[in-house]
Amino acid sequence: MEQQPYVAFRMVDASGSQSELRLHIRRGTPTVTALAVAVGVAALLESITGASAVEVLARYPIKHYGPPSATAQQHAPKGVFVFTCSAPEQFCVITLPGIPPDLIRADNTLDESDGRVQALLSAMQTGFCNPFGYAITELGAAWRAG
Amino acid sequence: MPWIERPTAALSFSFEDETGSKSQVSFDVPEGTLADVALTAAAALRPLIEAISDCEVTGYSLTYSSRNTTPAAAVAGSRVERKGVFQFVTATGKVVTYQIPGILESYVLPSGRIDDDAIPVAAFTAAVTEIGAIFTDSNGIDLVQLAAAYERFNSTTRKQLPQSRKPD
Repeated sequence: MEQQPYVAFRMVDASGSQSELRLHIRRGTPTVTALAVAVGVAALLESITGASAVEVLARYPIKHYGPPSATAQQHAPKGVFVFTCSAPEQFCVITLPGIPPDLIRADNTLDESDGRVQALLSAMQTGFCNPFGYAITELGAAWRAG
Repeated sequence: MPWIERPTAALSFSFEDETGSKSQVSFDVPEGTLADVALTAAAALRPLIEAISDCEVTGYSLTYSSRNTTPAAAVAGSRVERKGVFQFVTATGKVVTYQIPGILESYVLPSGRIDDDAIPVAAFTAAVTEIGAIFTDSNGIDLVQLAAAYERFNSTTRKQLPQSRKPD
């Protein structure tokens, strides 16, 4: 269920303490508009507070309601997936909790040929990137951790 | 005061296991990706993640952010625990409350009420309530009027203790 999106203002006072103020925004507000308005409001906030605005966020939350999965297990072991990206020396590392045992090989690597892993890779290659904005290209390695 | 958008938006999935323990994983999409497109991709990614995790995906969120690369120094003596409480009435009569950290004493009247006629205070309330403003309550209803504004002090949490509190 889509929840009301909001912008958040991260503010820091003279002692270094942080606080966050959230204001909800209309559904469908373009992110560019939301951030631009938030930057403007941050300036207004700074004019009435002694704190300094260091970051503004526009967040669009989705909550899933329903009974918990019957197969949910303890969230160890984790699976580490390392993806190569569109530029040399760029990687994207994702750690997923609760890897099912049938995906784990005897040497603690994950079965990259498994259809579920391939489906995840295919989805990651469409529109996803690493934190520096480089598009994900291939799955480099995957193993069990923890 | 240049603000720079992060090069990516974070798509965070929340997990819960059988014992109720929670975990989170973040993916990234280019910051120019429209929110609708990113959320559609997230909806498609969710069952694929659930297929390789025994945990339950309880939700996800998409976050775009801009960072102030040269933030102004906080005013000496400012404290986030000193809140400026602003209460707004929505179009349906509900009252929503926002607590602004570190409210300037110069805008607090001797009675403890915030001077809503002060130009900067009026500018802030106008930005939130004016016709066409993007701000709403948590149900998407417009904020139409300022109902109350006053000073309030919150308890200091452990994380909010002054960073340089030890004697030199």
